[in-house]
Amino acid sequence: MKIDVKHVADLARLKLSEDEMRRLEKDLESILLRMERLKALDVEGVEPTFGAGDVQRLVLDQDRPAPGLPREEVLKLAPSSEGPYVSVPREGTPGDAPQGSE
Amino acid sequence: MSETQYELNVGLEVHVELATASKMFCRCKTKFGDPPNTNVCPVCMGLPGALPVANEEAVRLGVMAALALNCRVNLSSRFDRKNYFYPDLPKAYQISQFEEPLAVSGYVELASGKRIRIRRLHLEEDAGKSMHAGDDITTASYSLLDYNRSGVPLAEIVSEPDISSPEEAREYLEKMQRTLRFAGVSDVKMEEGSMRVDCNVSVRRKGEAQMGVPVELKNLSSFRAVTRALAYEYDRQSRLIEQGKRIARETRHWDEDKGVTVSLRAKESSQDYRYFPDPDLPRLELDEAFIESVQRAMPRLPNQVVDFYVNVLGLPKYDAEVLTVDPNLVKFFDRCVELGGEPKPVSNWLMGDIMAYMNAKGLSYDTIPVTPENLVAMLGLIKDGVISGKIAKDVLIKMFETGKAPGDIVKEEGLEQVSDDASLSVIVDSVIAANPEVVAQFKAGKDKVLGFLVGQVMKASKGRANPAKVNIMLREKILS
Amino acid sequence: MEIWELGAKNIREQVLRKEISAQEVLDSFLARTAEVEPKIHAYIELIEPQARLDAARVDALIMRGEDPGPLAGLPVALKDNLNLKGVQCTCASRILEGYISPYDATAVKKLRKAGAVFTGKTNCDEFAMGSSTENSAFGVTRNPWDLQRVPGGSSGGSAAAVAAGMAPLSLGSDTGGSIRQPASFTGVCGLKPTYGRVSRYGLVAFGSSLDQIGPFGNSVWDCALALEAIAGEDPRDGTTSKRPVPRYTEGLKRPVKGLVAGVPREMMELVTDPGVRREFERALKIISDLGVTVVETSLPTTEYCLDVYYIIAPSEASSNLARFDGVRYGRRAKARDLDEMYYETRGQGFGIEVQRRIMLGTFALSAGYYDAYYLRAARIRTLVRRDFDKAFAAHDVLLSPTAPMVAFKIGERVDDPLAMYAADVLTVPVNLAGIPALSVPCGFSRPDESGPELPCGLQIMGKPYDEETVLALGYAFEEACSDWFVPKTAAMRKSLSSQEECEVVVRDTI
Ligand SMILES: [Zn+2]
Repeated sequence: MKIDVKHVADLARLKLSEDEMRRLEKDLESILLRMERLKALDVEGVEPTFGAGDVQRLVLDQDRPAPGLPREEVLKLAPSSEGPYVSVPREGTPGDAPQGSE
Repeated sequence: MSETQYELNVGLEVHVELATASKMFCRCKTKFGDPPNTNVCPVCMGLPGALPVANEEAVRLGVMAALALNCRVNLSSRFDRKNYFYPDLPKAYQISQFEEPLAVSGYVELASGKRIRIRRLHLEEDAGKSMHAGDDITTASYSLLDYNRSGVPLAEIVSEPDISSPEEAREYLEKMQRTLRFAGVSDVKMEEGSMRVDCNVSVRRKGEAQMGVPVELKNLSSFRAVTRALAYEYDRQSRLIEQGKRIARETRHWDEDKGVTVSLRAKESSQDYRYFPDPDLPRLELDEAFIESVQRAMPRLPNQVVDFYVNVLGLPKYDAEVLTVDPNLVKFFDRCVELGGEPKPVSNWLMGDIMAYMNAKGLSYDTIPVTPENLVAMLGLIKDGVISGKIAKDVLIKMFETGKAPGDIVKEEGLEQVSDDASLSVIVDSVIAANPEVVAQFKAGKDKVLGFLVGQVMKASKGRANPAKVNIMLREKILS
Repeated sequence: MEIWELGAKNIREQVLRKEISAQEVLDSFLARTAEVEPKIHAYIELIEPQARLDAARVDALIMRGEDPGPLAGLPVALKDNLNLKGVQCTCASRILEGYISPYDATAVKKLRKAGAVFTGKTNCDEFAMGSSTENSAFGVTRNPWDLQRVPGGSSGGSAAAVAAGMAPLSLGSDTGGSIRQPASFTGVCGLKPTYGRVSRYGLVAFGSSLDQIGPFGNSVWDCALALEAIAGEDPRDGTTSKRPVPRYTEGLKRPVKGLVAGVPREMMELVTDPGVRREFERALKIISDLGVTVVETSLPTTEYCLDVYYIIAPSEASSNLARFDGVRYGRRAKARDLDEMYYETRGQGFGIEVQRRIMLGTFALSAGYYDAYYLRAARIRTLVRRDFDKAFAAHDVLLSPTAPMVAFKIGERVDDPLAMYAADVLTVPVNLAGIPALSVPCGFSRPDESGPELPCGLQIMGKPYDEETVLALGYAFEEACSDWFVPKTAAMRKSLSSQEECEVVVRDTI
């Protein structure tokens, strides 16, 4: 089983070093190799199980607005904010200085 | 290049915000225009550990929308997670319905009788809003995020690629907008973002079996933008085919100012949403009784109203279509008729002076500045000959401005039509005396000049003379 | 005897009789913690000031003659993936370091209402992903029975805190064995309730269709008390059951005579440690002496469970952990643009095991692989459930060792994911089926000739929502073993006091 680790890391937005990439590739391939065993089972016509509870119907709540979190609390959680907004670096416009807090 | 050689195929994806008081999966308010980040909670901010709880009213409105658009409602449907990263998407997945949507197989019927098929209608949650900070859009280095809209319930309505002209696209959207507005499921306001449209456009040579390569259009913020962008794309794509060039499968951005579409991004391979059933939300199970109850609660839809106006009230189809642009207008009209107003005159005044006034003032139909009672009273004054149609136009303006009853305005301003013989006779005599040549021409058989004399009388009476009476009196006085 | 040695049941009764105050109880546990925590590192954060306020509040209620709730001032330690308002919730991850939760988990809210006093947040594997508590950004927790060994995981801190006498009760979460396996490794009781029995609201999600919150205690009675407090329908979690919550503590003395217990042969084949097998077989003898009919049974899909689990849990996790993106909370890496922010934040913020599982899950859900991995696993999960349904048609409970081995050495398995995953092989089937299961100490094995004896657990699995039978059998079994188990625990605790302090070991891949 070959796995395109770079592509998967891109989907998951993970920056990995060459070393980490190689290591994960090896790990994932051995895990997936083990999982090959699953192909032996006949699951034709078997309904999948997506949840484990006995609640089979979506619970619907009444449309009655309730207070949430105060804005100050929300902005306090954010790594950076500007005025009443949460702020993040923009898409694909590399500036000179790195933005964001650490 | 021959225009008729190519065929346009358009499918539309319409998002409408459902008119609930609280969000799809939390009970934060949905109110448009509140200060940024004031209607948020752990759920719609995607805080660790928070879980979604579905809104009953959103489901009801979704079913209502589906029924209004002739869809078949699935008694069992499911919520899936659509995974992608964007700062306005707090959980980095959107809860949507992918494999098993709420409803399928609907249609919108155009005036021509052509049906644009609706493939599916599903429920999902909206994302927050991101704006760009800084001096201008190209130099800003930050995006600013407001999560008030995050989690607002949406219905996404996907059509088949049945639309074959920009005009059809507009008609489809207008019909859908009216229908959903009448059904009361959404404000459907493009300008407030409660209705949003994406297009999938392809062009092919006529007669070709295979559909062309679809191009997705974004940033269509008005119906006008949709038609202009589609016309532009039809042109661009047919020219490319003509030149033997390939059409790229891509997303293009409509530039409203320049009137062109520009390539935004190729459909990347990384656009893999990894849909899977949301384990936090069991299946949405509905029963027939529920669907029936929604159907029973369905307000009259525009096509039913049009039928009634044409077949029962005898209005021309054109009038009926214009009046059904808005449910409030229909309500107003219906009330007028109920009060005894004659349908056609009511329609004329609504479509004419009232709409013109409201357009000029930029008013919406939920705040029509006259009451049905006053409009009907005014029509009564015209019918009884108390005022002329011309004077009525001025009275109406006064009604708009003061809110007073037309009878009061007429009395206060002394606008009653002058019909009594004595007063008219004085004016007619003075006009005859002042225009001897014209009178002579009329006597010599030039019948047409009488109009001029009537005009002079009207002028002298400041429009208040009863023109029919003036006509008769002039003839009598000159010829006798 | 110190207060901390009394056990939850006695402490609670003495507090209710006003013989001791909640503040004295807290003092005793805090003193014990000061003594042994430097050796164990069970906590990520102790919250002494808040705990003192909580205890004073309970005392005030009692003084006024009001009902302080069934927990009556009992200290409770919370796994650090449970939200406690105003306190850091890190999930043992760098990416959430410094994140102060603005809300309470439902289970936490219920415990507070029941009179609990929260002592702090305990260590675990990062985002509950692991079986040893080595995958923590804040260092390894040590097993009180042997400080060179792991306490199991992922709820290793909560298990070790109870085992070492730092708290009479704690909460953990169990996605594939994360309560039961550390309970087994540290010689305490740990219960994973039926999926839907306890609200997950406020538990940081790992595998949403598998996660359950559950208690650790020194006895089955303690676990029953905690379950009673946290169970029940929650309007904030649409997967919680509407079923009424039984008085679990009152049901413990139900007769077990006449019950039929099945031992799945496929599970026995997976037990690698002969000591574990020997102790389990001895436990079966004790159970049949209680009048329970013990028979062999079969769960044919057992051998596939681990694989199914390691597709479903990481798939759900890859989606659940996508929200840790540095935008709205948590740590954000320095970046010039948005993409760099995402990649760097998540690259630096997550440890290797979390990244491994995110990668595995992302892959299993990705275009072209979904059907062969995620969907196929979901179908096999149906077969697993059917196996259990069939087994429960003929048996009241199923029995197995909780883990195929006893606590292993720190560092022994951490670089070999498959060896680590094998520690869950007997516990994951329970999560796939959504049924309740209890781990209760059943004996000792000495894998190292020269090393100390290490506890191992008996896993009692029950029908959905039949925690009562599971607990009743556990209670009866515990009664039958207490004369030799309790003194061993006391001896371990005593010897812990004389051990040297241990350094905090933070693995470099975290
Ligand atoms: Zn909210």
